[in-house]
Amino acid sequence: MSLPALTPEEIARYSRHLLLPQVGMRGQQKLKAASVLIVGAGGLGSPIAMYLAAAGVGRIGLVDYDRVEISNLQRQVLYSETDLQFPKAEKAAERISATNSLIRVEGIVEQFNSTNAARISQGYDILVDGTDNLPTRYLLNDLAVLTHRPYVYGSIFRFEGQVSIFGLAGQPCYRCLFPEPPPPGAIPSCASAGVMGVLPGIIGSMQAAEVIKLITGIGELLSGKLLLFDALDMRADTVRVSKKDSCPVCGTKPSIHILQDYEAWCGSRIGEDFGLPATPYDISPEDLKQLMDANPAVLLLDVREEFERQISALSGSVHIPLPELMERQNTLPHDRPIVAYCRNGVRSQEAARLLTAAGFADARHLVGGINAWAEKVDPTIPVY
Amino acid sequence: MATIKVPQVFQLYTGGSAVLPLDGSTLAEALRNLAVSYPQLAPHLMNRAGALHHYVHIFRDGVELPRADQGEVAISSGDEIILVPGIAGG
Repeated sequence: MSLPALTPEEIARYSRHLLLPQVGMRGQQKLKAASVLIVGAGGLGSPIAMYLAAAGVGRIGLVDYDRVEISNLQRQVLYSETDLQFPKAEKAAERISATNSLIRVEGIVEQFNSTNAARISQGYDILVDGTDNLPTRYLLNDLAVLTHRPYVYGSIFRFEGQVSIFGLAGQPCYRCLFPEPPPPGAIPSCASAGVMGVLPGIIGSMQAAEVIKLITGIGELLSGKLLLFDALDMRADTVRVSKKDSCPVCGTKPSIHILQDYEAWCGSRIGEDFGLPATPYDISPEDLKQLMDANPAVLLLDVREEFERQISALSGSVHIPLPELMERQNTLPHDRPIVAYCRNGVRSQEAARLLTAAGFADARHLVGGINAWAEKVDPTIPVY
Repeated sequence: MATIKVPQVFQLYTGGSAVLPLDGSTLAEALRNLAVSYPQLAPHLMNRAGALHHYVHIFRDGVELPRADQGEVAISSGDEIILVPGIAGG
């Protein structure tokens, strides 16, 4: 393979790589010749982009349609306060171009989906996961398998992370491990459950390390293996992942030959934290305010955890965390309307469903949770 | 005694415990006992018939236990079972 030569400037810049016998001139030239598409420029995308740019990957694409928000700055180290409200992909591209002006950087302000994925990813050798949702993960996996490119996977939750490389020839893909997504709401997102700010830094850095190893052809790759990292215990486990003959995309008789509508299939919409379908139990903040004004007997039921009540709470609400609701249902009245609420409407929807199934005639839940109430009705309540 | 490592997604239902003792000679028996000890956890792992949800995977000593014969798998003292769910954050 013919590789681009390094200039004296590049030799000086990448000296610490060149000193590694495993990388050397040839490895650095491979990095210069490589192209990597990072889908998602958030918590994971930040360290991935920064380290790959610093390492001299010749062409880096960053896809994200979102804008920088204040709550991103706790972990998305690509951005600063002056970037608030600007498109992430644009600011991320500026930032990593400033780190390394010798590489080509493209910021793509689009929502990566099955209609534009082939176009956006054209010409990139490696697909890297910086997403925050399952539909895009399945899309990336299928795109990788169908176009014979590696998919460097990472995902996080609270203090835990997962890393792997999927889609290498003869090796398993994401669907070999997770053939189908969980039902909507079964697995909470970071937006609903929180995440330790440094965790995406650790997991994204591991992904960047795997990308560099993949490009330079060194070391033992996390292919056919899933690394499970727990920052609370500071423990890492590696489990084996097998290629499945029954896999619908990379198995012996695949049923998936083109990209699908992943949002519909996963039952969740990208960009909405939860995308839960409307239910008969829903009540909007405005309607709840009207109901409470008209009927003082309405019982507000807070189904969040105790630590969340220290952040915010609705006055006069009864507190039963969702996991204890069924055990403690006999403490709730049957002759009053009950409106459950949580942070943003996922747990409370489940609470309303459980109470209705248990025979409560008028159990509803606050759509969008206490955060929506703060936005629509009472701005003195902090949003978290 | 064998143990099972519970990911944080499910620790809300174990009182925050990350590693639980696993009591039983087969995986099916151990999971049934786990459901009795942690009734709030059970519906998040399995359906009413006791079958694991499709998005929950079980590994023993780093190797995934095939779904079809998970129930029959013998559990020995010292075995370390890890539950692996799909997670979505980034």
